[in-house]
Amino acid sequence: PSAARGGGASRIGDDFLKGVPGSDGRGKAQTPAGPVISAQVRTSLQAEVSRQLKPHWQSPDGVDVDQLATTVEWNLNLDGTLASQPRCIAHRGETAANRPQVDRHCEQAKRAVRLTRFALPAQFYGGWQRIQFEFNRKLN
Amino acid sequence: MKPIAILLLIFAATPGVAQSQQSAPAQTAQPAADISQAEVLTGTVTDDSSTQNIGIAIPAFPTEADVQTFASAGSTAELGRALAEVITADLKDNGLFKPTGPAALPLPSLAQVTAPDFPLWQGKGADMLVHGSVSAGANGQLTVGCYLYDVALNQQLIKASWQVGPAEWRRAAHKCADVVYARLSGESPFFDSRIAYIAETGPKDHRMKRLAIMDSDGANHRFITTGQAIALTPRYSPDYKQIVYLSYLNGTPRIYVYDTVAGTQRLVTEGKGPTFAPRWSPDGQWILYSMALGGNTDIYRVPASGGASQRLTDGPGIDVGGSYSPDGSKIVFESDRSGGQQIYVMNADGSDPHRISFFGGRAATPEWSPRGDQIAFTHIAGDFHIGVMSPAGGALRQLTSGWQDEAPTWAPNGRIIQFFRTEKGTGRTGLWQVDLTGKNERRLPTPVDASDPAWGPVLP
Repeated sequence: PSAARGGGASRIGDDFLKGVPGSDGRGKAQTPAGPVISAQVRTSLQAEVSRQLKPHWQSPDGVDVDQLATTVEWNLNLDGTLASQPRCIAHRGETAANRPQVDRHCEQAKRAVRLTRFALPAQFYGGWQRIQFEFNRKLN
Repeated sequence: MKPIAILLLIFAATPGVAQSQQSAPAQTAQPAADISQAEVLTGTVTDDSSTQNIGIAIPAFPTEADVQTFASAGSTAELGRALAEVITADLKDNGLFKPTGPAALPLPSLAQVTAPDFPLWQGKGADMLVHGSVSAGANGQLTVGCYLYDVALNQQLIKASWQVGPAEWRRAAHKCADVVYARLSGESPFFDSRIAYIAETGPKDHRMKRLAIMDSDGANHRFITTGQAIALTPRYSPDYKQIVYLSYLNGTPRIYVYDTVAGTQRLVTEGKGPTFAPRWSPDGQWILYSMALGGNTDIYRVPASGGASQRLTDGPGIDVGGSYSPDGSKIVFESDRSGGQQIYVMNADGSDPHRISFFGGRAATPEWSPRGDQIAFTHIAGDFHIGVMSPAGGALRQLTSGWQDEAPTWAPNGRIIQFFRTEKGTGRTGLWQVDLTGKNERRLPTPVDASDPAWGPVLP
């Protein structure tokens, strides 16, 4: 279907093919273009997101549940609130024994995201605006 | 037992559909930026806590009018408290939940049952909240409502209600515990079920062994046989309407089927020699059993309706305790053909017998899980323990460490195993349950010593 069909309009202006800037000469993004995310910053952000999720992540219990891992994706606003509801995009480690727990594992992982009040450095927003985290369980 | 009327059973947000049922996205303080260009932050978070207990508050169920009922618990107000107590007891000691019962909690108003005071329950540290209501109709029937809420998310997870006769008020509590358990564990329910077992009384050299049945929490206990004959190894039929068991009267073994609906029993076969361990085929057409003839014990099958028996094993050793796989294609059994007792699997017609247990110690009384993924057995390695392994014989896990734990049987959901434990010294026997993690054991109350438990149906 055409991008212009229905209620929305094409975002591509008439000047697109000419290769000239738009009328206002600025992009539409309302958040500042952040600095480039270095590997070190990325590692720190990963650790911080993990730390903030951890108190809320409670795996279901059962046989072979420690073999299950669910990957959840979500987007955050600059103030740390959810810009989109978390969704499960993948899981691995499913066995005959833990199959009944797969949906519950996903639900608990999404619950952890919804309960977490994310507090992350605004200057690196570009590095944590979109998150995909894997939730798993380790038996002691 | 009559099915209870289910007035309403709505899964407000089951795990599989939770995504589409969740509340609207959180309010945003800033307009969402264009994320198409954003790099994705990936990582891992691990739950490494030692316990997984979910705190569940279960206050008494309020009633719109406190009226007398014919239920043993008393008036509707008293019932409201008793229902919450039964639910609390059901959810306790299975390692998944940390329930707090009505004695320690405020009674909610009827309006709060459908609109909980979430800050109050958050303040009490509850993760989940069970609310309910109870009312009595003019016909004496009781209506019990049951609601489960996620306290942190202020979200209703499930609601259901049932209409029960006053004599069956406990079943409404078990049904409520079942929906909570199923919703929060992902597993099939099992509380609203019955258990058959052998009730033992009298001195050791003159033991009376009677077939008895009771609710899954030990309530509504009833003896089925009088004790004139010795009753052993009961097993529910696949449709759970009958119980097969072994009876010895004056040394003669007979296999009977007891009809739990009609309360009558019929003879299936009379053993020509010592007979053991009758078990149903999954289609209910056959009964497996073992019989010793001429010093040789083999496994036989007989039509459940009676008739000629057919021998399935033909070895020099002792072959006993056959149990069908859920699809009926294979039989797991115990044999000493290689020396000590070990576990073997053969085809349902007796062909291709092969040993599957190769770990240390001996292995006996195998029973195939109703889900097909595990075989429970008695692991004899010094003491007697309950163990499980895969149908191929791998992934051995020892679940109990009592002195003498034996005769495992499965809950209908294939997640809980029931067995009997003999106390060292006293020789007293009792029924126990253990979950498949092996972390959670609990004793089932019985009025007398108990052995040979068999789990019955999840009732309709």
